[in-house]
Parts: sequence; structure tokens; C-alpha cells
Amino acid sequence: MKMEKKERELDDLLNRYMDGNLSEVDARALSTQIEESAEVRERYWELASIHGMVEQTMQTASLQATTGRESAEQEKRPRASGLSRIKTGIAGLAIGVFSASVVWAFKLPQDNQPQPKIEEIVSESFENPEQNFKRRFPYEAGKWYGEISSISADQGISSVSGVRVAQFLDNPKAKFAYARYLIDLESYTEVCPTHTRSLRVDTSFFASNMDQSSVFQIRLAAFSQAPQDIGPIWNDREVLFDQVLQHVGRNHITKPGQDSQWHKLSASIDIPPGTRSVVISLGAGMVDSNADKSNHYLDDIRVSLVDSPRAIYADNAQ
Amino acid sequence: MVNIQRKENEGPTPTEEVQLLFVHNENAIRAFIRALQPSLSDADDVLQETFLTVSRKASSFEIGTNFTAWACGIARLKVLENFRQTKRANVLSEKAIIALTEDVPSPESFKEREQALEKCIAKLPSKLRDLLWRRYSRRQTSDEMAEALGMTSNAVRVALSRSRVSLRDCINLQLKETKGI
Repeated sequence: MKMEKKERELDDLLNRYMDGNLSEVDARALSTQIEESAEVRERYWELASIHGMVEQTMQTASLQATTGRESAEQEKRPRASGLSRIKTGIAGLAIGVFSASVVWAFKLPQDNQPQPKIEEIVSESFENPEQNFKRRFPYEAGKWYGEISSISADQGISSVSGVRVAQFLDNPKAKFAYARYLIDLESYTEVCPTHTRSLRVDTSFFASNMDQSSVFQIRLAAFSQAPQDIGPIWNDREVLFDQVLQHVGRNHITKPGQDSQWHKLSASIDIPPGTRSVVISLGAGMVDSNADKSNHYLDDIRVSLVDSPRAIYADNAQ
Repeated sequence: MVNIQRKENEGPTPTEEVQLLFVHNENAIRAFIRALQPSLSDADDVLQETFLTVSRKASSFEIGTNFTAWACGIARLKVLENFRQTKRANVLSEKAIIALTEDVPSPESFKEREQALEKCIAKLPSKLRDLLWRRYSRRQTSDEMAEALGMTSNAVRVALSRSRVSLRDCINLQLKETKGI
């Protein structure tokens, strides 16, 4: 009986730790128990692994949310297994691309099914030499912000589109320099109830120093808030994960010794019901922060809204 | 989408091989990190940092050996780095983390538990499944869930804790049955 009570108290401590609700005193007490007892460590792993595994399972369930199902209890279609979901992802990835928070389990439309409607809503190649970019998180939709400046495409750097490109500037506060943009979905036609919506970003990155590995990154996040109500989310991590409805991240790492070339990168995010704003964050940095620096460039950004018929999913329902 | 042009008969480089292995084993590595790192956002950063380090150290990985164990070894160091950087008071001590990582279950054990989990989630009452979905997929806070479901925040926290404990007990039972213990 006494043992059961002790176990319940330990479970309670562990659960509060996993929810981030542990006080400093309790954290010290739990640490001591873990340090001293192999049994406590075993119990920790049994419960803590649930935390991570449930998260994986439920992230897959978020796909149903984007198709209009509001609750996991309505789920009837068998979910793709973790492995097949990843394999599907790989099919859509080029080498060296990694999805951090994934919703890649799309079914490609068959020939006899209605095709998605694609509307390009942003096209940017930094052609205006007078354009100034505020080095801060965006507070207004429809403008580029961040550590970038528009430069003429010469001195060995050809542009992908137009005659100018954006150069990432040093960001002393972070490993990466960023270009960021807010989309206000209120500015666009509402998605038809028979469709689901996603947002796709295509862009090109370039690194001047090909002797070192650079990393290029696309992160997309969907919020229910209006653009002006979204704070500098990447600087306030708790806020990001309390408020975000959906989040996708992709990295591409260049290989040392590769020929100089533009690296084309794409990412898509499902837009859950209730989304008002989408944050687009494009980053560049060195894989090894102690390595010789490289200049990084950005060009030819295209953002599209993709409305797909919901029947694609209904056909798979059982 | 195309970012690296390669000759048709050229095999993958060590970096490409470990990156693909990482994607294949992402679930296990993420579960390992999430078990040590309660903050979702920090876990995401640690996962990314782990991916970068794994890529950088690709040549030191011996193909054919246990990739997940190797990657989790790197992830463990990244979790410790993150704890040192963030200096939060309500996290486990460094000594506790090191002790935990010395007793970490094998990757095979993680996989077994993951396989058992699906059946156990299906056995949960729908209300608890809904809570788990809101917490882990929608990232809702206890207060948001409480408001949406007409519960108190404390009742939400208790129900979430209970559902995790139920899942753990169900998984343990399933594994015992499978092994005929």
C-alpha cells in the first residue's frame, strides 16, 4: 500500500515535469530520486517515452484536423504508419532535406480526380534597390523583414530571376540570418468547404564559400491570430508552441567541394481550420559556426495557396 | 525541389547516407529527445541541432552498426548543452540527466513500445484520446483545453496524467503478454 502511494507520487512528479509544471523544489527532489535509484530511472523512461511517442502519433492525427475532422475520436481512416509517412516524405525530398515537424502524408491526386487549384500569391526577387528591410520580426503582413538587403547580381553570382538578389547579413544574435514574411489569409478568398488548403513556398538559396557546409532552412507556421498579434515567435519559444496550429521546418545542407549553384528548396504546410496568419521564415547559416564564413543569398521566392478537393481523403476512408 | 545534381551511377556520400538513416529513424530519436526534454520547442531545436551534428560527423559513423544508438548518443549531449544554455531552474539536474542516459532503454525497446502504443491509444476512452490529440497535435494549453471542453484546468491536467499512466500500464501489460511473462 505504502509502495503504491510512493509510486503514485512519483508518477505525479514525472507527469508534472513532462507538462513543464514542476516547481524548482520539486525538480530538485525528482533529480535526487533519479540520481539515486535505478527503479526510478526505469519508471521515468517508461512514462517519458509515452510522451514522445504519443506526440508522434498525434502529429499524424493532425492531418485529419486539416481535412475538417475536429476530433481524434471521429477518426476512422487508418493512419499511415510512422515509417510509411516518412517514406512518403522521402519520396518528395531531394537529398539532404529534413522535415522537423511533418505532415507529408499527402496522397497524390489520381488522373481521374479533380486537380488542386493553385494560386500564386507572392513572387519576390528583390528587384527594388531602394527597398529597406527592417531587421526585426514582421508586424505587418505582405512585407519582407529580416537580416537581408537587395544587391545587384554580379561579382560571380548570377540571379535566378531578374537582375538582383537578396544577401543575408550577419546576425550577431543568432546562428542563422533570416528573411521573414507574414501572410494574412483574410486577404484571400476563403477555402471552399469541399477543399483543404495548403501553402507552398519555393525559393532558391546560394552560398559563396563552397569549401564549407552551409545550411538553408524554410520554416512555416500557422496561427489563428491576426498578423499584428503574432509576436517575435522564434524569440519566445513557449509562445510559439502554445499558439501555433501547425508548424513545418525543412533544412538543406550543402556539401563541401560542390560546384557553386543555386539550391532550390520547397516546403508545404497544411492550413488547419481557423488559421488567420502564416509566418514564412527563410534562414541561412553555417553548419559549423567555427568554420570560415560564407555569404548567403536568396532569390526567386514564390508562395502559392493550393486548394485540394477533400474527396482525395474521403476516397481513402473506410 | 531538386537541389543536388548527381551522376546516375554515383553512390550516396556518407553524409547522405546518415541523413537518410536519420529520416528513417526520426521517430525513435525524437522520442528519446522528448523523453529527456519536456519543452516542445526546446526538443525541436535539439532535434535540429542533432541532425546538423549527425550530418557533420557522418564520416565517423560505421555503416551497419546501430545508427539510432549513435544518433541518440549525440542527442544526449545536445540535450545537456540545451539545459546549460537555457539555465532553467525547473529542469532536471545534469547529474540526473547523465544517470538517465546511462540507463536508457535500447532502441529496440522503444520500437516495441511504439508498436504497442497504437493498440493502447485505441483502448482509451474517447474523451482522453481527444485530450491527448489537443495537447500533442493542436499544442493546446491546459487552460485552452479546459475552456473548449468545459472542464477546469486542473481536471485537464489530472486527466492528461491519468491517460499517460494508463498508456504506460497498457503497454507494459501488452509487452508482458507478448513475451509470455
